[in-house]
Amino acid sequence: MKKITVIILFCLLACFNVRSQEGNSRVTHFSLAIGAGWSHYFANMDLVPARNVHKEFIGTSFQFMWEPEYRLSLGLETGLYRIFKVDSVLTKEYTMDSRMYMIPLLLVIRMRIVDHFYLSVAPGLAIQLLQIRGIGETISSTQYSFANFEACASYLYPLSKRFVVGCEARFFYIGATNDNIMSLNAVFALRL
Amino acid sequence: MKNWLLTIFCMALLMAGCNKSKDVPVPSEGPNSFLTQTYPLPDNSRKIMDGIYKVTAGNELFGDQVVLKWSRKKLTMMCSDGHYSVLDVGQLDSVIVIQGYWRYCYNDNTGLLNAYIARDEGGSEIVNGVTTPMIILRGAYGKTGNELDKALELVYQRPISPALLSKKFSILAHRSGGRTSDHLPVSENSIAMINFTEGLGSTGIEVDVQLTRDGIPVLFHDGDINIRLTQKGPLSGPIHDFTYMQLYYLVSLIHGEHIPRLNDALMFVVDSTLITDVYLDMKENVNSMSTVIPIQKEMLQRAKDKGRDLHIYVGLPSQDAINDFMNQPDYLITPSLCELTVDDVVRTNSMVWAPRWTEGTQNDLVAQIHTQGRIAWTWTLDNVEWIKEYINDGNFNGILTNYPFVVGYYHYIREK
Repeated sequence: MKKITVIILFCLLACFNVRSQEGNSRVTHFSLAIGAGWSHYFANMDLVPARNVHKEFIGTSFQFMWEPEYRLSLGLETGLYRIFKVDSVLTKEYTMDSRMYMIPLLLVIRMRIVDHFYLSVAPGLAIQLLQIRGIGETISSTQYSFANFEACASYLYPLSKRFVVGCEARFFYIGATNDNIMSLNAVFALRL
Repeated sequence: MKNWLLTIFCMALLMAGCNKSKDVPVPSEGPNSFLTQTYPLPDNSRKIMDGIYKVTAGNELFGDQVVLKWSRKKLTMMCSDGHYSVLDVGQLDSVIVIQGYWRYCYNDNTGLLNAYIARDEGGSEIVNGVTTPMIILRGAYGKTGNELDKALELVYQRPISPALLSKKFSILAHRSGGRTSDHLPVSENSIAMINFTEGLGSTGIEVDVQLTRDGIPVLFHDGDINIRLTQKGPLSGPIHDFTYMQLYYLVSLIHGEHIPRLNDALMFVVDSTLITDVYLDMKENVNSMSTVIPIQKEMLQRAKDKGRDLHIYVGLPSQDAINDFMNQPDYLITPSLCELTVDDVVRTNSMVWAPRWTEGTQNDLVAQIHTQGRIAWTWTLDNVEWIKEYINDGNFNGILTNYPFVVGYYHYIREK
């Protein structure tokens, strides 16, 4: 008899648990987000003094997120950041400038910590585009970095069921070149 | 709490994982070294010091027996297990003064080593160029920093076998003399490394050749300009994307050297070293032979004009490279080294057959190569036991290694 009671109680508890999740107003959905803002490069070059490196630029980010449940969401992120620009005076006759851009392709794992406040981590790859001007032709070179990592803190405030605005601070580490950037972006998101 | 600590530790590990490796400082007596008050030893005196020595104090680090061998400007102490010393030598009033450092090749252990040969323990004879069976080196070494707290004593046992020295055996050092990853004081594939490597006991070098965007052959191993081999700068990515001028001005190797042009590196070999063999490891499989072979010919002629016994071989690591090589008009008389089969060696008329060491000693094929008047090298052999086996049981005419002092030890202790 006791066993039957325990089984019934267990089943009821399981049902209530399931209902408590089903009954939540948040249902699985997708979202698209676009961000733009200020980015800063942490200059760490051995060959060029930090004062000769341009470090502040505009960066953009794009996210496609799958938000299947209450706290965790998964997604893909890309964007475009200029990492640095270096002006080099090589000789009296020659000057050269090199510019590095980066397009990340990341898998984002995001967690809601408290209302509207999220933390995310994102490993992935990065395409680095280098452009050199000076001494002969302009040269563009592409390389891939496979060991990259992003950490991001976001504040996302829902304006309505569909529209979200907010801001985010992210730190990005690029393994291949040992570069680090941070960015502060304003974000606009659309829930699908 | 433990999970948080673990997370922070993992993130720190991730962030630090791809950072440059540390430098290993070379222990030194500094500018006030007593050696600055001595006079250099003449060439005939140096040869007297070459030989096999019994270690009567200092065995715990250097083993029971070492080889001392002079190179162009340094005295090298070669040990059986991967320890070695690079030493400067001078003489004052018939006393031989020896100062330098020891290193272990398989980790970063290093320390100072100072010694002397007293006037009545071989010093007078060495200075006067008279062969003597009685040479005793007395001194000290330290295991940390610039300490000198352990006794060292080496007693001369015998010379290196004249029969052995009469036959050419090439000790080829990898990447122009040594790898950056072994924390040497100079960068791989640099002119500074070519200048340094004889002090490690090498008699030849392998260099990695790639073409820049404007078709200039340079020495560089990796396909990319990266922070493993270069200082962090504004340029990174595939080396063939950049012109030589861009590489010259915007890239420095890990210890600050420029990426050298092949032409400059070979000119340094000819003009400033006693290196006898250069193996051009062609990283470009095609379209580089027509650029590299004229430089090879020019430098061989320069060596001949200077009376140097220098061999420069173009490497043929693949069928594509062989096809490119055989498209050159004079390929049959161009000194080359083939890494593929014996048939390919015959087809390309390569002077050297160089199979990878993992294929074994292959004594029958090596004998076949010898009967054709060619020579055989193997690459890249770094393990002490394998080096010992290949020297004692194999018949190769040379070994390419990252640790020339280990190959040197097992080669020079042979009787014939």
